[in-house]
Amino acid sequence: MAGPAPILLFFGATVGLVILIVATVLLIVPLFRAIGWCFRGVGWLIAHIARFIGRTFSDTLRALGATITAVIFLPLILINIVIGRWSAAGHFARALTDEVSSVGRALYRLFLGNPARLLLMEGALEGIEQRIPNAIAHAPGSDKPSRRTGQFPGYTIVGSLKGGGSGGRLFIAEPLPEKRAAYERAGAHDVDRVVIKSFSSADGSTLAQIIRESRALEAARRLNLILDHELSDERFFYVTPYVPGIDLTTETQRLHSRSSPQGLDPEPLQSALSYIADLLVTLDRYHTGGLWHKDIKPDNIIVADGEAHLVDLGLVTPLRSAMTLTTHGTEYFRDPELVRLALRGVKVHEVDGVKFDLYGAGAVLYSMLENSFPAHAGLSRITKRCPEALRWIVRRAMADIHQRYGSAREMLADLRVVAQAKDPFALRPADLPSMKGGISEDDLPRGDHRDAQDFPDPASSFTPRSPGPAAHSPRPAPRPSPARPESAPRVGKTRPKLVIADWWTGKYRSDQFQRANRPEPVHPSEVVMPAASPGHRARSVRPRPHRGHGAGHRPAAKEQLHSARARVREMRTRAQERMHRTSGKRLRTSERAGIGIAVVSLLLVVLIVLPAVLRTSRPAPVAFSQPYTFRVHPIGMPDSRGHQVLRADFPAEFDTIGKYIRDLLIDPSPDAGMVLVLDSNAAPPSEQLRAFTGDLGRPVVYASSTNTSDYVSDTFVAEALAILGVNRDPDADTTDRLVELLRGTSDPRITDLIWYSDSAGGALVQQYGSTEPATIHLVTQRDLRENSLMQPFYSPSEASDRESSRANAIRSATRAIRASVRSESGNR
Amino acid sequence: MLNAMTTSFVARLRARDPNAWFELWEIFGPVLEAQLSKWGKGRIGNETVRDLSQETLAALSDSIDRFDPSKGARFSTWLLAIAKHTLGDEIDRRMAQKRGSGKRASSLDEAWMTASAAVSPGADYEAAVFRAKVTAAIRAVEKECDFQDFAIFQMRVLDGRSGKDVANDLGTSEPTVSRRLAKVRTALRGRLAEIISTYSFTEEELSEPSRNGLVLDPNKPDDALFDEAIAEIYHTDAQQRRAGLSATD
Repeated sequence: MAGPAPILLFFGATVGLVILIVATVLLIVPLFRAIGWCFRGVGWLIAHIARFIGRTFSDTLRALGATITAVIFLPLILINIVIGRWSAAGHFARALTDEVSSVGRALYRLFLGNPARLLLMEGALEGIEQRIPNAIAHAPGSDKPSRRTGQFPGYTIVGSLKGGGSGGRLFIAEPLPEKRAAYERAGAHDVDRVVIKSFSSADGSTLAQIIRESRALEAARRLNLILDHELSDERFFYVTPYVPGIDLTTETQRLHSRSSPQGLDPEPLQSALSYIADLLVTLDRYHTGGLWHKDIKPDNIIVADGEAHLVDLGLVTPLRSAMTLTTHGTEYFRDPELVRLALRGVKVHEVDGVKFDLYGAGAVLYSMLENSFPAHAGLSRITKRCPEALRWIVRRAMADIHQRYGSAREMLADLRVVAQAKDPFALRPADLPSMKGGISEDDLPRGDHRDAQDFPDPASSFTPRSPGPAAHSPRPAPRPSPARPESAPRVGKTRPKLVIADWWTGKYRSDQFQRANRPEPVHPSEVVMPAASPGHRARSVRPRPHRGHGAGHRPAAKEQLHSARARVREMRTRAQERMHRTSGKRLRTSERAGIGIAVVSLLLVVLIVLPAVLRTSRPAPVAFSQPYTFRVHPIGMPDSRGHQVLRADFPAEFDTIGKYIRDLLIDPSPDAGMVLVLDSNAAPPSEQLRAFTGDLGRPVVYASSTNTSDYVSDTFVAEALAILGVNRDPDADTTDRLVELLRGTSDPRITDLIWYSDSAGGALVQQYGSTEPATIHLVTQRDLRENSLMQPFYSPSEASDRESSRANAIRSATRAIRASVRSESGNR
Repeated sequence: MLNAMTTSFVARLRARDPNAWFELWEIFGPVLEAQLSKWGKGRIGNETVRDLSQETLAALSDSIDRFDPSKGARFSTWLLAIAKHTLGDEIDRRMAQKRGSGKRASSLDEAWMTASAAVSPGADYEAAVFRAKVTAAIRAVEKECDFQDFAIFQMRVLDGRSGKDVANDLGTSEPTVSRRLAKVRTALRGRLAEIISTYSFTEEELSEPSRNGLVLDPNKPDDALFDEAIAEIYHTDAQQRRAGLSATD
């Protein structure tokens, strides 16, 4: 039996060796791995400690450096105070504040932040470093208006709200009994508290903000969205009823906190759908009334007692406005297509604003479902649990503009089907009304978007409710429900084209009238002028005739003409009465003096007006000597707030402005509109203005006054009348007509307005700017004197329209700037 | 050597065509914002980052006139060089303001124009630029396709749902879904080729799609791979964009 023994031995040895090798590998590999982890851990620890030491060292140096700098600043402040250089003292004081703030931050990091990070307690710092600054940044301002803002007659201020990006201040107020009575008369009942949105240049509001808001106000008045307003030389404010509640962002967070992390549970989902339905009903009301909200976002939707209210009228725009489209709005809730169109210089009435609002509604629905904003625009994907039909609605609302829902009602009909489904998750996109080849009358909600059990009357959403938690915000005013049209096709592109018949008399005709066999020219007095009078104090809310943009609801041209004539007659009568009231004493004098005085007056008028007329035709040499600083964003992209900004960086010459304006406005084509030049610094208009606006190749009208608060004074009107060529009829009717013409929002003749004023915030721009008949190019002397920021009121489209000429202006300006900088550096 | 589409695009930029500038901004603005945030290391806020990305494109208006395509720089390098210059300028301006003096704008270092430029963009940045191009192609297709066709593409490719589910949701048949998907895919391939050609200066940039699994020639066996690659790029882009936004917010 010697044979098998060695074999067995060999076999056993082999197996043993294999086991040994395997065991060794199994032991050694984890061992090495563990050693590796240990080394890695030690390495991380060393790096962590090194980072701590580095941060501590760096912060210590920073604190030390900032302290030394602060100590140096102190005597500088004192010295400047002693020698009376207040501006310099203020400058150094601000620098000192920055240094003290740097010291504070460095000390915080040294003694709290860095040690906490060393002990891996970073999470504990989140509250201090993020939530507290965030809460401070969002805190409301003072509960009382500052002395500069002044008090609001008829209201008692009881609190304040955080202002938005529009630059206005928001106060909560209680109306006094006489105001309440006025509201009652206007049909707004039970208004216990109101929100006052106030703009004051003294409080830091810019002219751009004031004009934009006042223009929005003009549009909002048509839907009775405001209760009261006042415009003066110093400030502008308007009043809306106040609804206590929380914004939709907070409400969305609350709904998600009540649901599972996968997405909204059925009950919160129903609430979300109900809010969106409220929003769509409100939007439908805006759109039917011919308005475009333009800033749909969760922060502008207030939830109170289970109902959503759309607030913030800052960007409200008439759908048929002749203005150029601007890029204002909020990123992620604004359709990128809007920016593209705005850059092309498209006019508001040439686009379908309804669809941009619907994009916003889709983005808001997305944000409610996802608890986040749509970072990827229309391609944003809903990752949370959500009914497929609802995803479809979001997709459709945020789709390309040509494929989007056509109206809020269409979207609401789809939403209603999801909201009323027993199991929304079982509902297919194919079951939605919009997928079934259109929407039937049964699908379309009529004023009431909810049924008895799920969707209460939207009209009730405008009834004041009891106070809710946390934040408060203004909301739109109560308004009787308008009769809803059966269909609302856009007719923006069928806007009648007005053709100037006679530049001397100002007559023009409409080709629409021509098509209707009405060839006679229509005089301006026969054209409907909006009764834009923001200067009237405390104008109460009065229902106005509905101005829907649907063609089916537009009265016949003949009726419109009759109505317009009646309104003009009424306006004429009012104007005559006003004239008699204001100049009663003078009239009595005239009666006593008889016809002799009248003749003398007439001669005086001729003597004043004639030289002005003669001067307009005499070119004068340009003598620009004012230093001016500006630099232009060369590509016309809006800044983060959607503004076009010309920024002051480098010195240049004033003639750059002249050249810039010439390049911007020069247009020899016969279709070019009229340029209105208003000069509130000199009467007659300054030679400089005339010089650089005299060769634009298009009609230019000048008007001037030396007194900005006296802009409707007789001299001013007479001057403008003389240049317009209608001074042969100097009665009150003509005056009134001219003022209305200048203020008119729908007059297409004036396409550009250059306003040259001594200071920003004057009454002139507030009055005319509130209706903004044309693109305004602002040139102010104060800007020139102080080399400060210039706020031009031209829209981005201007830039795209005339990009090449503007680029030339920019290039030459840049060359001048660089040359100037070089010479300055050389001098230094 | 530049292709005709790139040359034409550069010509549009030189002619100050606002749409060309907006196109550039829309496609690469987020990438620039992310890169500027990264460089700013939290020292510059969200608003400033956005303004700076606009300034970057504004600075292009100067550099585009001096741009020499024959020197071999990548498109992404071109963008990055300008962004870096803009950020440097802004930081210098701030420092100068602190000192209470004015500062002359620094002149742009044009070394980036050569292939061996000192500016090294980094793999993450290159990937982000490529993803931006793909996303731009998807957006372009969204505009030109029928809404339902594109919705099918979104549901099938981007959401990863099965053909059967999609057909059921839309009340149609699976072959119809496949047919409509193929239509969008073909359009996407075309658009992708166009956009890659437009925004690429070098051969290496032109070959990026095939390196990332995007075969641009219509080829049935590669369809699944193409869809998968598109979905992956889209998801990564969405994720990065959101992460970038929350970082700067």
